Amino acid sequence: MKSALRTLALLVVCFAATSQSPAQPLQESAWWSYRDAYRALVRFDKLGKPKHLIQQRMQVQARTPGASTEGLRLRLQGSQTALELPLDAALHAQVPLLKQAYDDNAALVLNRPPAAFGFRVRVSITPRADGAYELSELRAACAQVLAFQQQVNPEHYRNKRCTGVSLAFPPGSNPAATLRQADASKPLPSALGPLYPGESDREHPVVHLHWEPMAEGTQLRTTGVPLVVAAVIE
Amino acid sequence: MKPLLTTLSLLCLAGSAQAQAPVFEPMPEGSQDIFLGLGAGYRPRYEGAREQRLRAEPLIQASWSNGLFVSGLQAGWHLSESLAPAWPRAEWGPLLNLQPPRGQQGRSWFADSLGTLSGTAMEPGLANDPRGNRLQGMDRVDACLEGGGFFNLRPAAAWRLTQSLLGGTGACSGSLRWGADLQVLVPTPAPHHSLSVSAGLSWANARYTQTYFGVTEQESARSRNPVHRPDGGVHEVRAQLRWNWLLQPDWVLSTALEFKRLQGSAARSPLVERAGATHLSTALVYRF
Repeated sequence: MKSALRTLALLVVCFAATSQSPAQPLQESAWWSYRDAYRALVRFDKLGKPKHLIQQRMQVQARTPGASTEGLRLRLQGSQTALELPLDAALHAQVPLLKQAYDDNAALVLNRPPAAFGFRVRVSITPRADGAYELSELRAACAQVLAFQQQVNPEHYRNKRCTGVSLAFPPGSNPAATLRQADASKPLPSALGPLYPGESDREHPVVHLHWEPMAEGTQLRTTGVPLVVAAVIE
Repeated sequence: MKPLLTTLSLLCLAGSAQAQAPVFEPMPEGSQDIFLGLGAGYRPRYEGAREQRLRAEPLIQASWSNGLFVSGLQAGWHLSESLAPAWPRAEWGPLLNLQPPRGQQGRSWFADSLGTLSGTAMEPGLANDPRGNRLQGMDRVDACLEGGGFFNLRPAAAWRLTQSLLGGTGACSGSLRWGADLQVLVPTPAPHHSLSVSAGLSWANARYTQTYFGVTEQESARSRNPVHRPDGGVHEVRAQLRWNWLLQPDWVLSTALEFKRLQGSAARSPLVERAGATHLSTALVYRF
């Protein structure tokens, strides 16, 4: 019994040490270990196949719909690391791969409680600033996304193929999208939908483009830069 | 691509002899990922003992970017790539394992022991078995180093089949054993928690089972145990549930519940009071 008490005392001392750790404020914040984030992010850089038409970003995602994102800030925080990471309107951030932050055992920290937000790694097609997308280029970009996802998550993407793209615009915007082929042009409608295909939010004007019936040489033109150009993989 | 999957690397925060090579995760060149912890384990005092002991147990898992690792009482070197371009992925390399000694008090898993928790035992190591301490009169089995290799197969991110083949040196010279475990990372909705289940078995040659489960004529004459010469074969099956809680980026609470059952002629050894045993351990671990 005495031995058991000694063990318990030891554990209590250990927990007391934890509570005095300098990382104490993290208990009040949503965070992700940078070492774990690094492992998830570095695959995009290191794994083969061309990726010049696509991009990887980390996204902060609300666990409950409608959670306020007003004043949301993301920091890379460690004893030797302090970096503000700007979030775009869809809560994406570019997270750099830094040896210093890895060695520091830093964390990606949000100024929100732990249960409110989570972190995801997203791979999407890089939007074009001029709003002009050649169909052949969109097909190639979608194939790059699929090839990467098949390497990372083969069981989920086995026997899947690219069928199109979806372009999600900021909430409240009124995007105009047009398909141009030879001399003809046809407007593409937008409807409220999710930022990424298959998800449940319905806040964004989304333009869907399925390329089955389209001829090569078709061009998609949009006004405004979409938040996300996502590959539609089915 | 949920970040929880990357906590696979924490699967192996085990202090037992069944610790596996940690997953070879990518990290910056020259970096390392080191976990050191201290906790308590509630285990049989030797394989086959009825009496369970509570004792302090250190936990260690260290990985370096060049592939070297230490995991529990094992050390090895990943010779495969940390980022293979396709699945299934294979991990392989040389492996060393330290077998702790077994004296009449049982296994000395680690140097620091807090003694027995058994309320009926009068002194540590004397079980309430009608035949008394079955290790009384048995030769001490010294600590020994086993060398060999590991070959792990990962069909997908959350699945891993680990295998190791180890041959003994010194006190366990001539012994050979092979172990295989299938590990699955169970998705959990809670952030910072990972849950894994694994099941496996161990095969050993007769030299190994004789060392830990056999009774020689001389030992029989000194003890109350009849002579026993176990054969080689599958001598253990096991299943484990492990829960890792990343309390903070640098603190982990690692808890494991494991059931092991001796098999075959090892289970029929006169040293074995109970073939099946439950092991429970928990430790607070600092990530350097």
